[in-house]
Amino acid sequence: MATAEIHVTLKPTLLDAQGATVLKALHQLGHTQARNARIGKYITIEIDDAQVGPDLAQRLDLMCRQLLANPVIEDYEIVIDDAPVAPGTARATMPAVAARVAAGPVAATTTSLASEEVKTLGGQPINEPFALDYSTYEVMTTEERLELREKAFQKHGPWIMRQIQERRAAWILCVGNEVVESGSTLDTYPSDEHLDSLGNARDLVPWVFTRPPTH
Amino acid sequence: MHFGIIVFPGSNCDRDCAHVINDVMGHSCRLVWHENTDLSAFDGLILPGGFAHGDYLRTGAIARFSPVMDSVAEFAAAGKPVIGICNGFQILCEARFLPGALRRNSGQHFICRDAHLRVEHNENRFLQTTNIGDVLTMPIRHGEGGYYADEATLGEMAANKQIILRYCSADGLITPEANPNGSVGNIAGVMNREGTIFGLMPHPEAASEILLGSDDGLLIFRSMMEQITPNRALTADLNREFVL
Repeated sequence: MATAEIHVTLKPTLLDAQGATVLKALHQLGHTQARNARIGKYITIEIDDAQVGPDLAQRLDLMCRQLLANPVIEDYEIVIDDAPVAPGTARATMPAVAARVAAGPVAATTTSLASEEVKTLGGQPINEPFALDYSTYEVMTTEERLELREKAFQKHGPWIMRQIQERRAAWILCVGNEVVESGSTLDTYPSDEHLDSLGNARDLVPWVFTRPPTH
Repeated sequence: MHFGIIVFPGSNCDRDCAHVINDVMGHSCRLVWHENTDLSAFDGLILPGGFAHGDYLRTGAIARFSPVMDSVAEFAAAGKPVIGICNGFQILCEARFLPGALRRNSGQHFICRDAHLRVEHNENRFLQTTNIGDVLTMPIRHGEGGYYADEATLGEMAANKQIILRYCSADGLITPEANPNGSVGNIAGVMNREGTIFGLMPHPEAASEILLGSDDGLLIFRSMMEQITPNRALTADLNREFVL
């Protein structure tokens, strides 16, 4: 399955009113180093394997011109990622853009949730569940672990959901800021032994998130 | 005159238009679902305001591919008048029936208030009952009303007298302050080259009864009903009559 990522942006010569407003807000927050903010759309499209051929790029270009972008006011950029992703088995390679997104939540460790801080045994607040070392996690009680999971989801829920949706996965396994494994059914859910060895090897907590039931 | 009012999923000014055509002006109309393709019964078409297909992707981007749109093109090609109001204007631009595009208002906000419009040209099917320089008042209500076309296109449009309404002050001056949404050249309404299709962001149907503050919008509908302006197709008909 190939995935195409399409970025649609206003032509650089046009005033991006949304971007200008966001820039103003950034400046008001003290981020005076911000110089130019432009807002666009990010569209991902999965392409049927059987139809992936030499004219894939042309086909996507046509999609952009016909529908996804309005050439009068918008530019577009197409990135095709056709790295094979074997569900539930080998480590999934993340496309470059997704990797940048993935780096986001872990970097933002300074903002902590105001209420109900989860603490380590030594009383230190844990701001970033994704960055917690495995040895600390191992000695936590089940309740603490559940709280920590809750916190991870509160903090990074949209990112987690996006990773699941992008892979059409039933579950994903994250270590640090990376999705290292995923599976299309719960039958392939990783074993405790596997998680334990992974946690010890990387000294980071291996978090597994599953797709919520659909109604 | 019998009007067809095209209803897309998410149109919401269709019944206001029908009220004006039927009850205020005493003409007839029918609502036409966007999947219908037979427009042969009508003398004029209205693409009303609203949020067709939820404005997903871009305003008008999906509606442009509705089955009715090919018939709209044929309708206009036959010389009959088509007006797109607000979302209808956005759809006509997305369909490339009109030049340019509409983008987010420069001030980011959805705007809902009266606007003043100056008549730039009246020798056309849509403003023939007005005078050049007239200031019309009617409401605007949109989030994506900033008209844009590149310089070359604007030059061509100006030469063809396609830019027929501009936002202005109460006394008819075209000023930056009178521009509510960042439209280039204060443009509020444009026609296609042939003069058969007209799109505007303001709502003439919401300014058609003095009880509601203005009936300037009637001038536009009346203009559509009077067949005196020579556009190409009509000119051909008139000539034939003359010869007979």
